[in-house]
Amino acid sequence: MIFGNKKCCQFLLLLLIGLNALMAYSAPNFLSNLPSSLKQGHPVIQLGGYWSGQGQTQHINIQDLIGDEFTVTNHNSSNGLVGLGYFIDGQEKSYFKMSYGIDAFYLAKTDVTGNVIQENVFTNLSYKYNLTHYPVYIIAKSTIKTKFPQYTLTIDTGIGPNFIKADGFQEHPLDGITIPDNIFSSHTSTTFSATAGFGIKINQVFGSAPLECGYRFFYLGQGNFNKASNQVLNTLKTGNNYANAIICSLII
Amino acid sequence: MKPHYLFSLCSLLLMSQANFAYSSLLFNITSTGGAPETISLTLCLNGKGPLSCQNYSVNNLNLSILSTIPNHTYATAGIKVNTPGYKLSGCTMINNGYCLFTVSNTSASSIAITNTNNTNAPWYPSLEAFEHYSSGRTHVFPQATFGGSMNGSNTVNTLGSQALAYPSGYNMSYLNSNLAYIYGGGYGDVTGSIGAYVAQVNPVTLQSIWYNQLINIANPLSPNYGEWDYPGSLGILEDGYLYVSYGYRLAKLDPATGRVISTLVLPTGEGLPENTSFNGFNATADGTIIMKSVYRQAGCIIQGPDALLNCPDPTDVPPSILVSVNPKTMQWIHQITLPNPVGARPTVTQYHGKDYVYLLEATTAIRYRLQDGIFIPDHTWNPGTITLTSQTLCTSFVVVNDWVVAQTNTLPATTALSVISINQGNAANQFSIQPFLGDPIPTEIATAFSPAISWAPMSVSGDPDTNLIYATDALPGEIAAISISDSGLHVVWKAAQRTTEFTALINPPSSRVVVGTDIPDGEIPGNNHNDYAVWRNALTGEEIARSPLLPAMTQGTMIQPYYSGNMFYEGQLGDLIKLVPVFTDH
Repeated sequence: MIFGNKKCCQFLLLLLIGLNALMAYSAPNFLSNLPSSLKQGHPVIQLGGYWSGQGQTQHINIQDLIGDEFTVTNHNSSNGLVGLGYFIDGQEKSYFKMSYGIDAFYLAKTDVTGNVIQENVFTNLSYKYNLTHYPVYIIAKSTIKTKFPQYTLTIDTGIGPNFIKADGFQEHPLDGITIPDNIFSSHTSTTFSATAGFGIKINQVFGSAPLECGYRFFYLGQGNFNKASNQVLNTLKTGNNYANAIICSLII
Repeated sequence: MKPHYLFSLCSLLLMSQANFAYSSLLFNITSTGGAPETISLTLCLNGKGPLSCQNYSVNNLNLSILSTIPNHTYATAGIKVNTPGYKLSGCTMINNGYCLFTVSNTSASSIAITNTNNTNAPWYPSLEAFEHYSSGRTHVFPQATFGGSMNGSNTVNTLGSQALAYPSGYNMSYLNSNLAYIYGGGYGDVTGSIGAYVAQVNPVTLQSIWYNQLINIANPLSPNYGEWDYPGSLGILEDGYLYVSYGYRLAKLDPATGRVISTLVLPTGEGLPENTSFNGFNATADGTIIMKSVYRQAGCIIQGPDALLNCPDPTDVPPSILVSVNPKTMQWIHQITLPNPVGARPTVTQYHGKDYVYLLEATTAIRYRLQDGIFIPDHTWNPGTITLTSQTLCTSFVVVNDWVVAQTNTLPATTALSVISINQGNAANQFSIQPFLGDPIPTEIATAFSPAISWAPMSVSGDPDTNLIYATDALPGEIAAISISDSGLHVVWKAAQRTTEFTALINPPSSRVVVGTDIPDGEIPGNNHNDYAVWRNALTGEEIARSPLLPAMTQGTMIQPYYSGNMFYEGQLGDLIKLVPVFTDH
């Protein structure tokens, strides 16, 4: 995938945040007009799909034992997403317009699968768990005019918390005699999250309502599970989660 | 780069990147000592979690466990038995149901599995694990049934082993209906018997699966040449191992192979080892083995039980010793010298929560309390003289509820035998009856035994469920059922049956059957060449089945109950015969 490289995504995220910040700074009168602007905002409904990168190989220490190595055999998964936002118009210039808002997403459940190497010697179990993300962002959106009046370019950046629900941890024997330990239970973590993306807005697609579609990158942070046994000395982490998404937004 | 170098390089790269992790067992279990069924276990590297666990199945009761991961000791490994009715020892039980132990790949942990539902502890819970079923020697075999009809009209079919396969077979023990074992060879006075052996017998073909000749007293080149060959016995304890006493030894065998795991050479008191035999063994409920010595007169070289009759002075022997043995360690715990010679086998029972060993001297009885393997004489229990003038010593006590019961005249006697019951709570509370007093004796037998009129080289059998005792006397040739109660002993029925063997009681109490041998008319007891096997309604004495004529049974043994209504008959010359009574609808 184009944005599968984490360093590349981090660079792009920083670039877009910087660009949007520059645009926002160039229009200082927005804040003084904020109270009246709130009544003139636009709800946004977003639908799309995402591809996630999650899970990491790690060692779990168990009392009196060497411990188990949790490897990852499949850390790419995909599912749909839904978003709901509310934006208010900000400053407008000849070639661009800013808008600001809150945007909340629901990234539907994806899973991570791997194997458990018991005592670092025997691969007797496989495991699987699910992740669901609920990021909420403060978004700065730039809408850039083009020479085609019906089409504009958009750049979005945002930061906010992500609520990662890690659940559904289960193990299965690979040999028919090993008993799954199932040593982790569900946990919801709150982590720092950021998003950035770009798209094309097409005006007056549904009556007067425009449609915007584009690419969005999510940095979703790291979640973890709870330990279900006091004999387990450290908990299972999800590793840093990333998502690449294609989203279409209907601006009401 | 040349092709073969390239190939080698590629192979090296592939091997260095290969994931060598593979699926495998976390534990290595070896097990011995038979189990009644397949037992399901769970073993965990961390028993507290429990974590890193696997399921295993074993068919034996004694486990030796190693872990398979190198260079690591697991201090809190855990084991749990999933099959109901078993408990573990050799580990520390914790609240989550797991039993903790320490193990590594070089240091094994020994864990034993025992049956928690065993009503016949310490004997293995099979149809017959001890020669007389329970330590109280009742001869009642609760799991054994009669394969014919109580209404009579029964035919007894027979299946014989190869001739001479099992010389002087003495008793059999079973782990289950498929795993049957025989001990024999202890009658040094019987042709073909050269010393103790144990064999696993295929119960269908009667062929031996393995055969371990433990000692050879007939081979001049053997270090044991000339040792007194007198019957010991075979038993199976709850640990599933075979234990056999022979001469002055106790051996523990692996039932799977017959391999001797351990042999304990016992002390012999004041007697020389070559003249010493421990005639069988018994055990307390906690598994402590009890053994008692008998002696052949010094200087006498007569073999087998004949030495007790025909040595110049069979009474010129040292006092017997009593020994307790720990079967787990195969070390003796305590030995004492008894006040007088004791011929009969020790009887063990629990009375009011205490373990007792009952013994019969020539004219009285004594008992010892057993505590942690230590014998403590109980002088408060003294029945005084219990025999009549000219009666000879009794055979073993049989426990019937609150009573211990014996009959006199193990050796031929000129006074009719007595059946004696003594209360365990008060030795002064005792009853005696002479059930065959005045009964006629056939001329040829009277002549052969003159002046003796009574001979009972076997103990009574006693039924705690029906409160009936079964006594026999080989000279009048009769069997009697005697009721026992707090008011005394009373003859219920008598029937003609001439035997020198113990009787066995099988079938449920309401249809109890007493089984024994019957010497054919015209043959002399002790020198008979043939026997019949006879089944009687134990409540009425009615004969309900009789076998065809069989070769003489090993004297002083017992027809062995077996599964599915059948029995095993030990011919003294080596035939093992399976008796199959069936109802024949005429």
